[in-house]
Amino acid sequence: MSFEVNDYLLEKSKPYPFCPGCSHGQVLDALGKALPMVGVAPNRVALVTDIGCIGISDKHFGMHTFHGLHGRSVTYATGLKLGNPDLTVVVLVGDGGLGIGGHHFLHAARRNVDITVLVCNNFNFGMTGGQHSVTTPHQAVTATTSEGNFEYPLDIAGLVDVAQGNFAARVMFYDPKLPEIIAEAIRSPGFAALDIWEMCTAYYAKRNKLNRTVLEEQLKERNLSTGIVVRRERKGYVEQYRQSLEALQGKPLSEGTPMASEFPRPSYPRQSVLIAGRAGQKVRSTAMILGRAGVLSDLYVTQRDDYPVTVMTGHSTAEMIFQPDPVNALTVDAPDYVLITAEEGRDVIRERLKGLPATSTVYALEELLPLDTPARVEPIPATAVDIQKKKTQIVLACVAWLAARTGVVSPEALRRAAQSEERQSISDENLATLAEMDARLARK
Amino acid sequence: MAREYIDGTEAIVRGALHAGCDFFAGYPITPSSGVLVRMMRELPKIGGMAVQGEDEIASIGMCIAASMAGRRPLTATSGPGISLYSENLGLAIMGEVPLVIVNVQRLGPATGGATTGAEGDVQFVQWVTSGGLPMVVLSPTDVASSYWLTTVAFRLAERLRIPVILNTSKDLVQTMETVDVSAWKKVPVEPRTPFGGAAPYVPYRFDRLGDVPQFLPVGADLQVRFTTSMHDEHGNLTKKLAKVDRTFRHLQEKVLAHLDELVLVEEDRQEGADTLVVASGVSARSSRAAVNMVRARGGKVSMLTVYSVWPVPEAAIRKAAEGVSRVVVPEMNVGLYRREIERLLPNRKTIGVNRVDGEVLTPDEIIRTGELEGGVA
Ligand SMILES: Cc1ncc(C[n+]2csc(CCOP(=O)(O)OP(=O)(O)O)c2C)c(N)n1
Ligand code: SF4
Ligand SMILES: [Mg+2]
Repeated sequence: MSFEVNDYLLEKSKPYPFCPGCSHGQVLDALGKALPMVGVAPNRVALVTDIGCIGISDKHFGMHTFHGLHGRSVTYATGLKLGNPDLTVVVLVGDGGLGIGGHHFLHAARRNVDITVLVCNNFNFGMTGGQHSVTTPHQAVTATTSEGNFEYPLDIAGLVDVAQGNFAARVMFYDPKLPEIIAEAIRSPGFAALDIWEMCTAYYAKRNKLNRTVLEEQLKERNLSTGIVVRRERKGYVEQYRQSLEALQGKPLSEGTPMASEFPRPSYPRQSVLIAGRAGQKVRSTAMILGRAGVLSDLYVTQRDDYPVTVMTGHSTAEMIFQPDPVNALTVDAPDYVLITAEEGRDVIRERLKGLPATSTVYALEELLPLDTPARVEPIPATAVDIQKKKTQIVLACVAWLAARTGVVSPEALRRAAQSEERQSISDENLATLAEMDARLARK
Repeated sequence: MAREYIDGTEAIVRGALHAGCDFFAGYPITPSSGVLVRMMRELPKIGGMAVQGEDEIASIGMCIAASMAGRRPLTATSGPGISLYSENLGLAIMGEVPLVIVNVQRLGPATGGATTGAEGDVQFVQWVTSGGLPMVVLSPTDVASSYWLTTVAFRLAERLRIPVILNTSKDLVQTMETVDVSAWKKVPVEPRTPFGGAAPYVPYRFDRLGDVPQFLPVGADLQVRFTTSMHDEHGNLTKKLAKVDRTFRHLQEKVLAHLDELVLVEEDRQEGADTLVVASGVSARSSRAAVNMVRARGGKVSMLTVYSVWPVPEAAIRKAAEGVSRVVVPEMNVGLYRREIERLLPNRKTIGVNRVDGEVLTPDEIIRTGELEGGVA
C-alpha cells in the first residue's frame, strides 16, 4: 500500500499557527513529504512533539501524536518505542527543548534507541520571547544577551557523534533535500537526529542579521558542514534488548520457597533480639538464617535492619521479634536479648544499652566489654566462637551461642535454616560452623 | 499454609507482576532500588520490558509513554526522585495515564538520610504537582498489605486512568517478616475500557464529568492524540472557557465520583473507649501493638488504620471518632496527617506521637505520649 502526503500532513489543517516567515512550517512540510517516502502506514507512526512553537504542530498531522513536557520528548519517544517496538517514532523538538533535555538526547543516542529526533534549531526560545538557547551563536543578541552572547553554541550533530548514535545530519531548512534526509534518518536503524538550522522571524532574525548567506558563513566559521555527518551500524536498542535478554524469556518468575513448620514451636509468648555488629560481618544474612529458623519453628518473625549508606563500612544491626502470632511492632523499647559482635555495633546502640532494664541480657564478645548498661551482661569468650581465622562466621557462631542460651530457636531449626542458602559452598560453611558450635556447647 | 520470610520490596514486585505489570523504568535510589533490580530481572521472563533510565525524569517519562502505548507500567523511587517526578505526575493526571508509582519514604528533605526511615512525604504526595488536582495515595503497613495494595493501585490506575502512588517507607520495604502467602488478598485488574465505536476516536470524550474516557493505545489502527496541554475532547489545545472548565472538572470528578472504591480503612472499635488511635504506614504497626498491649492490660482504646491516605477518607474518620474525646496520631514526621484529623475533628483533643530521628515508634512510646493508659498521675 502506498501513502500520500495528506495521509500524514493534513492539508485541511493549514494554515500553520507560526509567525509570517517562520521556518517551522517548512520543516513540517518536509516531514509530511518524507513519511510517504518511507512508506510506513500513518497509524504505525507516532509523532512526539516537545514544548515551544515547534510543539504546537500536533493538529496538523494524521498519525498518532504525543505532546508532553518541555525537554522530555525523547523520553516519551523512548517509552513509546519500547512499549510498542513496531512503531516508527519521530520527535519534533526545538533548540530550547534540546537544551533542557540534553541529557535524554545524549543517552538515547548512546543507547542507540530506534527513534528519529528532528531538532528545529532557530537559535533561540521562540515561544517564550527570544531568550538565548544552547545553540545561540557567540556574540548574537537575544532578549537575555543584550550585549552579545558570551556563551558558545553547542553542536548537536557532534553530540550524537560522541554519544555514538548511529545517524546525524546537519541541514538548512531551505535545503530541497530536507525531505529525503528526514526519510533516510527514519529508515536508519538505531538513533538518528537532524540538526535543522532555522529562522525565527519574530525574535532571532529581528535582532541579528540572518539570511542564507549568514547561515552558511556561520557554518564555515565553526568549521561545520551540512549533510550526513554521522553514520554507524551499531545495533539498535530494541534488537540489543531482545538478544541480550532472550535467555531469560519463558523462565518462571521468582516466587520464593514456602517453608513448613518443621520444628516444634518454642513456648515463649514473645522474644526480641537485637544483633549489633559491623558491616562485612554478615549480620544481615545471619539474621536471616535466624529468622528462617523462627519460621521453620511455627513462629512469626520480623527483622528490621539498619546500616549506613556505605554498606561495606560502619555498623550493621538487625532487630528481630519472634512470637506465635503475627508481629505488629518492628521495634520495642527494651529487647530481651542483645548480641554485640563488633565495636561499631556496640557504639551505635550505646544509648539503648543505657536504657535497658535489668531483665534484658546482653551477650557480647569479651573484647567489647565493659558495657554501660543496667542489663545483665554475659561475655562470650573469644575462644568459644573462633571458628576460623577469617572471622566471617563470627556472627553465626555467636547466634548459635545465643540460641543455645535463650532457646529463641532450637539448634536443629538453626541448622535447617542455614542450609537453605542459595550457594552450596556457603551452606557447607554455615553447617560446619554450627556443627563445631554444637560440639563446643555440648562439651561445656 | 505457605509461609515465607520476605520483605516489602518482594511483595510489591510480586503484587505488580500478579497485577499484570509488563513495563518498568526506574533510577537507582536507596531504599527503593530493590524494586528496580528485581523488575529488571523478572520482567524479561514474561516478555515485559524493564529499563534503568538515565534519571528519574526519563524513567517516569518512559513509563507514561509506555502506558499510552498500551503497557501496564510501574516505577519506584524515593524522596529526591519523587521530587523529580513532580512535573510528569501532572502530565499523567492531565493526559489521563494509568501509572503506579512506588514512593519509598526516607528521611528528607533533599538527600536527607538515605538509609534512614521516615514518613515525611505524607503531605507532599497529595499535592505533588502543580495545578491543584488530588492524587490517589495508598499506604501499606506490612508485607502482606504491600502486596494487596500494589494490586489495588494497579486496579485503580487502570480503571480511572490516573497515576496512583503507593506510599511506603524504608522500614516496610526492607524489613523481612513471616508471611502466609496463601492468605494474601489481591484484587483483579481489568483492562482499560477499550474504544468500541466507529472512527474517529475522540480520545478525551466523556459524558458525565466523572466518567473515564475510553482507551486506545498509541499505535492503534485509529489515530490517537495525547497531550499535556489543556485540551478539548479531541486532544487539541484549547483556551475556550467552557472546554477548559469541563476538562478540569472532569479530572477532579473522575477521582471524587469514585470515592467509594477508594476508601480503604480498617476500623477496630472498642465499646466504651474514650481514645481513638488513627495511623497509617509503619506507624500503624506500632500503634496496633500498643492498642493490643493496652487492651491486654484491661484498658480501652479504639483504632483506625488508614490505607487510602489520599483523598482523606473523611466519613470513615468521622465515624470512627464517634464517642471518643481524644484522638492520638502516631507518625514518623512532625505531625503531617494529624493536620487532617484536626481539620475533620475540631472538637476532639488531638495528640501527636512523633519521631523524626529515623527510629520507628515503639508501642511503649505511643502508650506513654498518647497517654493511652491515662496521664501521669
Ligand atoms: C519545565 C519548563 N520550563 C520552561 C517552560 C517554558 N517554555 C516554553 S517553550 C520554551 C522554549 C522553547 O524554545 P524552543 O524549544 O527552541 O522552541 P521554539 O519556540 O523556538 O520553537 C520554554 C522555556 C516550560 N514549558 N517548561
Ligand atoms: S516566535 Fe519564532 S519560532 Fe515562534 S512562531 Fe514566531 S517566528 Fe516561529
Ligand atoms: Mg527555538
